[in-house]
Order: sequence, then C-alpha cells, then structure tokens
Amino acid sequence: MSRAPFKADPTSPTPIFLQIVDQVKLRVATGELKPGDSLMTVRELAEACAVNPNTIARAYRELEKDGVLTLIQGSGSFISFGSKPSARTVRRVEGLLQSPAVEARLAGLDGRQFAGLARKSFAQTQRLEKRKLAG
Amino acid sequence: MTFVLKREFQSLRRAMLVVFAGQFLICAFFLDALGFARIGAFRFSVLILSENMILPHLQLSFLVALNVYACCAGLVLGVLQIRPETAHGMWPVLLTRPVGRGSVGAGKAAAGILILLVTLGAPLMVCTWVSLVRSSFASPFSWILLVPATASIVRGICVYLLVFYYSFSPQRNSGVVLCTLLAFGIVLLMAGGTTQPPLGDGFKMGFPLFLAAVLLCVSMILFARRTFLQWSVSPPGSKPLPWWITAFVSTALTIFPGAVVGILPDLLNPGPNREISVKSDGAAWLVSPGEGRLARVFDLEGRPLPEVAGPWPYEAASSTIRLDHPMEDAVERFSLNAKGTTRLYVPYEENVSYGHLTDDWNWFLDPGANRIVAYDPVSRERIGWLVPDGFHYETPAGEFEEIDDQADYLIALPDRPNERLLAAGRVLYHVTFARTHSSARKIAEFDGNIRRMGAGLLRFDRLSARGFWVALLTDSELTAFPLQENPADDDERFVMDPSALRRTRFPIGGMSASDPLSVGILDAGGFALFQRMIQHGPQQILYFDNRGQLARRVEVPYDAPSHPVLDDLKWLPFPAWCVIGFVVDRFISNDPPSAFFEGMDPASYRRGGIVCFIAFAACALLFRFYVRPMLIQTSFPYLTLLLFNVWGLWAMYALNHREGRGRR
Amino acid sequence: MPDNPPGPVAALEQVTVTVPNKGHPKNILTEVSFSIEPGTIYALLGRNGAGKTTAIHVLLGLLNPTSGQSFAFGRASSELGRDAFRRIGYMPEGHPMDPAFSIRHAARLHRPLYPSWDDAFFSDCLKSFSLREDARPAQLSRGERALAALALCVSARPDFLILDDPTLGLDQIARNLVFGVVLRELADRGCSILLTTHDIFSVAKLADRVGVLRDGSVILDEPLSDILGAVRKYVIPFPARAADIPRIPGVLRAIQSENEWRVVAYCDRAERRLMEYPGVSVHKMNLEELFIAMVEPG
Repeated sequence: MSRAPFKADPTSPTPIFLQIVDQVKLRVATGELKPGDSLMTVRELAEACAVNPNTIARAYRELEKDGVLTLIQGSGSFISFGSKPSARTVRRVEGLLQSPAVEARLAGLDGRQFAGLARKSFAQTQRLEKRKLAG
Repeated sequence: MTFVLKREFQSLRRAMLVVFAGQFLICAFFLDALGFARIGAFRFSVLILSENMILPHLQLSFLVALNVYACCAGLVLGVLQIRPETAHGMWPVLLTRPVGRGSVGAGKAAAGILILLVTLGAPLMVCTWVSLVRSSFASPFSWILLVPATASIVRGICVYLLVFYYSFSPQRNSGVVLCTLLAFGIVLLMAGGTTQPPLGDGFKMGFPLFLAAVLLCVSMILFARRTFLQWSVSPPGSKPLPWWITAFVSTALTIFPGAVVGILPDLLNPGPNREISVKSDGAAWLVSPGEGRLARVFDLEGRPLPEVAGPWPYEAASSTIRLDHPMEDAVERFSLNAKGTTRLYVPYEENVSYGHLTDDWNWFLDPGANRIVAYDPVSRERIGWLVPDGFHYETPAGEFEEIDDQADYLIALPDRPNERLLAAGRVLYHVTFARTHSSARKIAEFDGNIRRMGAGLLRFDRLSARGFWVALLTDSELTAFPLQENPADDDERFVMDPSALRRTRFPIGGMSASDPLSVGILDAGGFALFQRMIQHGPQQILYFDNRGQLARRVEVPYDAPSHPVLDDLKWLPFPAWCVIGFVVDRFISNDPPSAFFEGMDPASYRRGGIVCFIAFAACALLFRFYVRPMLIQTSFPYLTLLLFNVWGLWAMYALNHREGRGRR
Repeated sequence: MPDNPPGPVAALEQVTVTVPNKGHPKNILTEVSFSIEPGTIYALLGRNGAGKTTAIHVLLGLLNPTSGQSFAFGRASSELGRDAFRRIGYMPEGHPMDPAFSIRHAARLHRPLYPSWDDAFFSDCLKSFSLREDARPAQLSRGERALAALALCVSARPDFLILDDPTLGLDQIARNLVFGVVLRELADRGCSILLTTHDIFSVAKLADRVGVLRDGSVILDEPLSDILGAVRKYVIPFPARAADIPRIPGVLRAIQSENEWRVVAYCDRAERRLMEYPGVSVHKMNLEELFIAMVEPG
C-alpha cells in the first residue's frame, strides 16, 4: 500500500483525474506499487489530496479500464499489473507514443534510432522495478 | 412561526425596553404633574366637560401624550423591525429557512403587535390599578381613561402595521413613503376624536405642527438613506411610474379617504349624552341634538314633545328645535323653568355653559357674537346685552374679549344677586369659585377632597336655598351631599357635611364612572340620574327621593337622534375599499404586490388575499352590528387607512407590473 | 431522507431576469440554463456582477424570473415550501448572521426547524474551527463569521448546499477549512453543492462541473475533467481572414488584440480549421487561464 500521497496540482493544465492516473501508473511502472498492493479508498484519497471524491472515483475507473487496477467490491482497489495487456491499453500506449514520435522526427531521428531509445527507456523502468523488488 | 417569534423578541428586546421605559416615563410625568397640581403649582386643574366625562386637563393631556407616543412607538418599532434585516442582509437568510413566507410575515407582525401591547399596555394596567386603590394618592388615571387610552394603543398598532407593510412593499420611492407618512400625520390629527387638546386653541394648533415636524424629521432621516426598506434584490419585470405620479396618487389615496373617514364619525356621531332636566313635580325631559343643527326634545316615555316653547334664538317646530348655532362637540344645557317651558343654552366653545335665571330674564350666550344676551321670557323680546363694563339695554357696547369677564360680570351684577344664578356647569362654578377666592390652590384642594372620596365628579349644582349639591359617582354607587356655605370664612367657604354624606349614598349596580351619565337635581332635593349606554344602548332615568331611595326607574327608547342612513355611511368606506382592492386584484394584478411576496406561489397568495378579504368583511360587519364602543370608533380611521394603503399600493404595484410587461 | 425525483437536484431553464434601468431595461440574466446533478459540486464562476447571486436567488425562489423556469427538488422554485427548504442549506453572500444571536443561540434557534439537525456535528465543527460558542457575530472576524455561518448551514445536514461566495475575504487557512467542510459533506453524505467563488484553483480541485457566466449569459457549462483536455487556446498572429475565426464551429471565444487573435476552442472540432492559419500556436490551459480567457473583456 502506498503511503506517499499523490499530488493534485490545480495549476496544471492536466485534469486532476488524469494527474492521479498518471501518478499511479508511474508508481506501478517504477515498482513503487506492486501487483496486489491495495490503494487508498476513494474517500481517503480525496481527503488526502483535498480533491472531489468523484474525481478520484473517475481516476480509479480509468485505471481499472486500463487494467492497472482491480476493484473488488467490499475489499478495495488492488494493483493488477502484470496481467495480459488488453487491446485498449495497447491502443493507449500507441497514442502516448505519438508525440515522442513527432519529436523524434522533428529531431531527425529515423525509426530504428527511435525504437532503440524506446527500448532503452523501457529497460530503465524494468531495472527500476527489479531494484525496488529486491529492496 | 416560533422561530420567527423568538427571533423577533430577541432582536427587539432593546426596543421593547425603550418603549416600556418611555411609557412609564409618561405615566411618571403625569403622576408628578398631578402632584404639582395638588399643591397648586399648575392652574391646569380646572376641569372641563367632555362627552359627559369630567376630565382634568392633566388627564386629557395624558391621553393626548399617550396618543402621540403610541403612534411614535409604532413607527419606531416598525422601522426597527425591518431595518436590521436589510442592513445585515438577513432577508435571503430568513426567507430560505423552512418556515414559510406566511409565517415570516405573520410572525413578525404578531411579535410587533405583542410587543406594543405589552409595552404600552402594561403601564396602562398599572395606572388602572393605581386608580383603583382608594387613597389620597394622586393618580393621573381613572377608569374613564381606560377606553380612550386603549384606543390610543390600537392607533399605535395601526401605525406600526402601516410602517411594517411599507417595509414589505415594492414601492421603494422615498417620496411616496414620505408623502404617505405626512398624510398619515394629518389624518392622525384630524381624527384625534376623543381626546381634546387640553390647552386651548394654541395647543390645538401646536400639536399637529409638532407631530408633523416629528414625522417629517424621522422620515427625512430614515429615507435619506436609500437603502432603507430595500431588500437587496429589486423586483424584476417592473418599470415604476414616475415618482411624482406615485407620490401624488399615494398622497391622494391616503389623505382624502382617511381624512373623510377621520372626520365623518365625528360629524355623524349623535353626540354625547344630552341633558336631562327635572321639574319640581318629578317629571323630566330629555333633549338631544340630532344630525346637523336640530335638537329634539322628548318626554320620559321617549315620545317627542308636541309643544315645546321655541323661543329665541330657536325656531320651535313641534319637537324639533332648529339651532342657530351648530352644536359642535359639546354639552348643551337645557332646563325647565317653573312654567315647564324649555330653555336651551348653546354652549360656549370651551364647553362652558352659561346659567340661566330661573324666572325673570333668560340669559343666553351667543357664541357667534361672543356675548351674553338677556331675553324676556314672556314677550321673547331682547332686553339687553351684557358687556364687561356693565349691563346695557338695547345696543351692545362692544364685543367680549374673555369668557371670565363675562362670567365675572354675571356674578358681580349688582341687581342680580348670586343666589339667583344657577351654576349650570362645573366650569362656571369653578370660575365663580376662583373669582370669589382668588386662589387656585383652593380649587385643587377641593378637587382633591372630592377625589379622596371616590371617583368621578358628575355634577355640581347650586340650589338656591340649600347651598351646593355635589353628585359623585363611584363604581357602584352615587353619592350626593350638600355643601354648606360658610359666608363668614372666605377661605373655607364651602364645607362638606359628613353625616349628609352617609345618608345619601345610592347603590346603582351596573354603572361605572366611564358610562355617560348625567344627573339632574330636583329643586325639592333628590335626583334624577340619566344613564345612556354607548350610542345606541339602553337608556334609563333613575329617580331618587330626598333620602336617596330609588323611587322610580324609567326606560327610555332613545334612538331617535341618529339618522340611520347617515349613520351607516361611515362604515361604507371600509367594505368598499375591500371590494375595490379585491376587484383590482382580481382583474388587474397577476402578481403579488411586494418584494416579500416575490417567488411565492401566486395561487396560495391569492387564497391568502381572499381569506383576508373575507376576514376584513366579517370584521366590518361585526363592528357594524355588535361592537360599537369608543375603542372601535376612534381606531376606525386608522384601520381603514391601513387597509386602504394596502389595497392602494397593491393596485399600484399591479399597474406598474402590467406596464412593465407591456413594454417588453 | 425523502427520495429525490430522478434527474437533477436543481435546474435553471432559459431564465431571463430583467430589471428596470432608467428607461432601458437591463438583463441581469439572459436565458441562463444549468443543472446540478445529485451528489456533485457545480461551480458557478464569473466576474463580479455577472449574475451569479441573481441566479441563486432565482433558484431559491427569492426572485421571480421575467421568463424561464427554475426547479429545485422537482418543484418550481416559486413553490418551494418548508419541506424543500429543510433540505436546502443556503449561505448567502457575505455570510450574514443575525446580530442579536450568539452562535449557540442561533444554533438553538435553528435546531427545531430541521429534523436532521446534528448537534454533535455542530460542536465538532465549531471545535475544528476553534470558534467559541458564546461569541456574537459582532465579536467575530470575517473568517470566523464565515465559518460559523457555514457550521450553522451544514449542521442542518442539507441535501443541497448552496454557497454564495463562501470564501469572500477569507485567508488561505480559513478557505481550506471551508472547502474541507464542503468536501466532507460531499463525500460523507452525497450532498449536492452549488458553489460560486473567485478561488479558481480550489474550484479546479473541487468541482464536478463548471459554469461560467459573463454578463448574465452562460458561456461555458461543462464537466471540469473534460473541459481542460478538450479546450485549447490558439494564438494566431497577423491573421489573414480574421472575420471568419469567431464563426468556426467549436470556437468558444475569439478576442482580437493589436497583432493577434486569441481563440479559445474545442480542439476536437475547431483544431483542424484553426491549424490552417499560418503561425498558429497551441496552448494548453489550466482552469484559471481558461477562466480568464473566457471572461476577459475584449
């Protein structure tokens, strides 16, 4: 269970629910949250961040749709990372890669170089996760 | 409702205290003043006759002061109740509590009325109690004052309701409010029916001006701040008429009907109890002024007398006597001479009636010419005029300046000794008394002596051979006793005989000193007591013999003087305005009249209006047929004024609203 | 708690309020529509005088609209009765409190009015706000008065909370306390809340839906989470065909300054056409920037 609070930044152009989603995902990707870990309840998190609970609920729903989170009625929300990627999440990753791809093209990189960079940063998160798991 | 009441009492507790204290202050002042009067510091203790109530000037001025004070208290309370709400932005809070608009309005009004009743009424009750304690304690109060004082409080409540209503009203125009308040002040004075200004013409004029000035100042202070009476949200959808139109309409609507209503009852009032005169053989006659300038004479069975000698300056036509001078609001005198013919004496303006000479000449006060005229009873020829420098046959030498001079001359007339002059009224007696003793202190003492024995002094008459008789009425008994004249001692000229006092006490149940009564004293001794209930009540004459035993009781069907149609006219505006308001509401207005009613369900509002209308109409009918005491009479103009304002503003708002709609 | 009829807790439909203004009637509200869904926070934003308070007055039946309708709890606002007001907690602008009553006294006065009044909650509130119960409004600072008024308001446990600029003149600590209470009401009891405020960043964290009023008209009424992602600002320097820009579908606002157009638009609908202009730059906005872009004069 994650003790470090999530941050909601009202000055950011990103909607709060997306900020939460991103932070959860980052923590899962970096191994800070492990599969099976439980997250705070919507209420607790809403109170901790001083954010509308409906927003948190929306963030959790998004996470569930992305397959990062499993809501088990009565028990809470659990990280379910590691299961097979769904078509939706794949599409989402694809979308997210679009803007780095644009940047790469503008920078004059070719496809291979871009793939290499992507592989490298992917390996980085994996290493981070292993270190977390070991630690 | 409880919520609103609690809230109001909490917010108004200071105002309550102030009204309370002010009221006690007035009472205290009059207690003090009476104390001063006792030791002769004031000359105001001269009594005057008013509607058969004999009231010292002090008591009258108490009534006047209470009248003004109650109205001011109502005005201030109404303002205090609304101003904090607007000043602190509490209206939206109040109207969104789960209490309902009706409860808010009713609760506030109920709280205000209750506060006025308690704060104004409590000292009144104390005064009443004090007056009940029979001691030498000087009280400015007596039972007689209870009804007019209560009427004053009702007036105060009417003023309060008026201010209260205005504060809810949509007409935010300070000009309108100002004009209406001024109009109200004027009407207040016009309709000041029961309480006559105590200090003569100067005072009579001064009080209205004073009151108008006070109202003007208060209005200007209050309405200079335009936030006054304003709710933070202005009613939408309406475009007000130009302010001068609304001001004019408002003033016209307020002044004219109010003034008419204020004056009408006085004009049409059949007047106070008429005089009774008793002949030596025990027969008695009543005289009553009718509407206008007619006086009627009846015998004791209530039949109009067919033959009334109608001498100068009256034309006698059977039982009706046409008076040359309007009766005004005064007691006219009437008595019988030895031959049984009638003499009518028109009162002087200040309710002073002049005596007549029993046989030889008839003296008549001509108020128009302001002089006293002597007539021959047989030939009905004018004999001469009484002027300050003596009696002149034929042509008068000049006009009289002062009433005292005339009276003085009457007394001092060398060939008309005092014994032959009957002091027909208390005032004349006091005038002579004061002249004789040149000491106002004596009057006060005498008055105090009488007061110590009981309550109201009814009649003070002089019998030719037996000195003076004094008739006193306490709650349940009439006391009559002779005053012995003691010519030797000029300071103690009149002496009361305690043994005579004991002997002549008559139990008369069911009467109180506040009932209009008059007492006729028989030449042979004994009394006839005439009782008239308020306006149209039963009337009777009680005869007492020399020893004070009730000898005879005659019921008098005495309803003749009031004109049924004219009499009912004064009730007309009341339902008429209700109807007008209702019609206006029904056909013109689709909207509630004030900001307070904004957002209220129109259907429920209309239901409320109908209920109000029915209630008002029911009250009007009730008043008309069952309740006609002075209380209703004197407050009536204010009530109608209030109602009329409500309906009038309602109509104006409706018109405004419609115009606003039309333009869009 | 009585059952709500399905649909929004309260709604304004095409409400127009006109006031007389020296012969030229002025619209305070012009065809304003918005609705508050159960269990959500609706934030009504706008500059001073935009008509926020008037809209609330219409909603509460304190003011009859010139045209249009407003509803609360399924009933017309003008017919709201006792039972409806029992479920509504309304805190007017400027936190008015009865000057004659201490806080405790005011609570005692309110208790019998509301069947759902919660005394324990009230004392908790006062304790957490560190307010003395016997203080009178005159003895309280502005912030304390606001908190006291809020405590009175929420202790009646309303289903629908209307807060008209609750943070007016409050410091940051008091503001956080106020919004903490608002959040707790929402989280604990699913209270529906209508909020007007000038504290945009708090709105960004609190609101489910945002309405923006400008000169009495609703110019934006969207769920907060969607609006930030969906609306962008486009700055177009030296536009060639300037007049077309405000007519492009999806454009919310277009302001022309000396040498550029600042355009606020839905990116999904308007982006393609706007990107055709040479030199266009695209900016994401946070809520404050969005609000300013929407209501700034121009």
